[in-house]
Amino acid sequence: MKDSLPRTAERGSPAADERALIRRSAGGDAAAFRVLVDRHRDRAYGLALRIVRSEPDAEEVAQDAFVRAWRAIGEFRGDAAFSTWLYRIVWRRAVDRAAVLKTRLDREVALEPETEIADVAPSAGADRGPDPERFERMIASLSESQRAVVTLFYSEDRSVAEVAQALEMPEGTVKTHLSRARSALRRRLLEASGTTAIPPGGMENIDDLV
Amino acid sequence: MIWCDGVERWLNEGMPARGLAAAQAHARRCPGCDQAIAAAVALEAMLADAATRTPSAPAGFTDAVMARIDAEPMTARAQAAPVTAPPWWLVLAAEPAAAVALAVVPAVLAIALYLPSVRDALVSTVRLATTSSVTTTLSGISAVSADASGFLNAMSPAARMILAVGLVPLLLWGWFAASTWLGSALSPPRASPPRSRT
Repeated sequence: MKDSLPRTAERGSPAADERALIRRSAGGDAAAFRVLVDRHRDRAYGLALRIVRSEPDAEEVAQDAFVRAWRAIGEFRGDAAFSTWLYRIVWRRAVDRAAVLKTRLDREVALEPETEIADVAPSAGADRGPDPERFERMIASLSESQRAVVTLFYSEDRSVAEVAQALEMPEGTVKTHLSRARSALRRRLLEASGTTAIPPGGMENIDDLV
Repeated sequence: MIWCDGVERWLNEGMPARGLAAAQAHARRCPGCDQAIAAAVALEAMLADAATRTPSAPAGFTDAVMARIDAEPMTARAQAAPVTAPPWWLVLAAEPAAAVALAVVPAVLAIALYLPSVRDALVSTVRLATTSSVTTTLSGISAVSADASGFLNAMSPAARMILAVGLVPLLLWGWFAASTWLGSALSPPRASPPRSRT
């Protein structure tokens, strides 16, 4: 393993740098791969966290994804962005892990159902503003596929085509997931908070969004 | 003009610019849709806000990944490496239909050029098969067999060579199929990659 950082990481366009890093990683240069890990770790971890909803499991999933990426980087052809390819690995690992966690959770919920329900459902006396924790609970109420699609589309600012490529879904399926997620979140927002969480004058603010 | 379900659909599509005017016009006289639009606007703001809060990977994440990579046995990467595609001629030889076709062509050529009596007998058998009964056809086939066995002994070296060439693809395919089968039967199942963290 070489200890020096790749020279290409310091000059040239980011895309060219990334291609050089990928090439060197495919050739066994662990230092080059380390740069790729540094660049993409937060996003990979963020996507994993959205799907498995547990920090230790998300860390495990993201690490596992990078190790698998290292093993298979020779297969990366550059048809898509490296991050898209990496998201695909994270997505697969996270879905597998989520299935294991769900089985475990089902057993635990059978013993203590009230704890889990309280964790997911918005509390009646909670702050009615759009606080991050409550919003994350709303996101958690979506299906795994919807969470992944929402995360990549909104948080990672990916196009529908890129999300489809990352999650290995047809674009129509991505659009359906997005549509259902928006509908579910909107309904949950209205149900959980009544009308008070919704700022008045929605129609006036809408021009900023569309 | 759109109705409530049209507004709902427009909201679910992410409020594209196309349809905005119609939705606004509808919302002015529909309090329910006005509220739904306000909720959608609030939701988009929340999603945009959430996008700025991408969680950071835990401290030591990169070191942990690299430690796992360093601990990887060299064989793991070799196993994950893509298998090199076999050359086209080997792929072709592995196809039974191609092997049979490659064997039949020289055989037909040898019969047509060097075994005229077998050729004539075959032609007459085909004619019989299309015009006569099963018994007559079977007798024609036995006549072809007799002709063939007699002429195979007396055939020229060139005809033998052509027939031998025709056998090569069949032998090659047989070897490939047998080695593939033996390889899959004798190789141990691939172990799953380790999942535990180092």
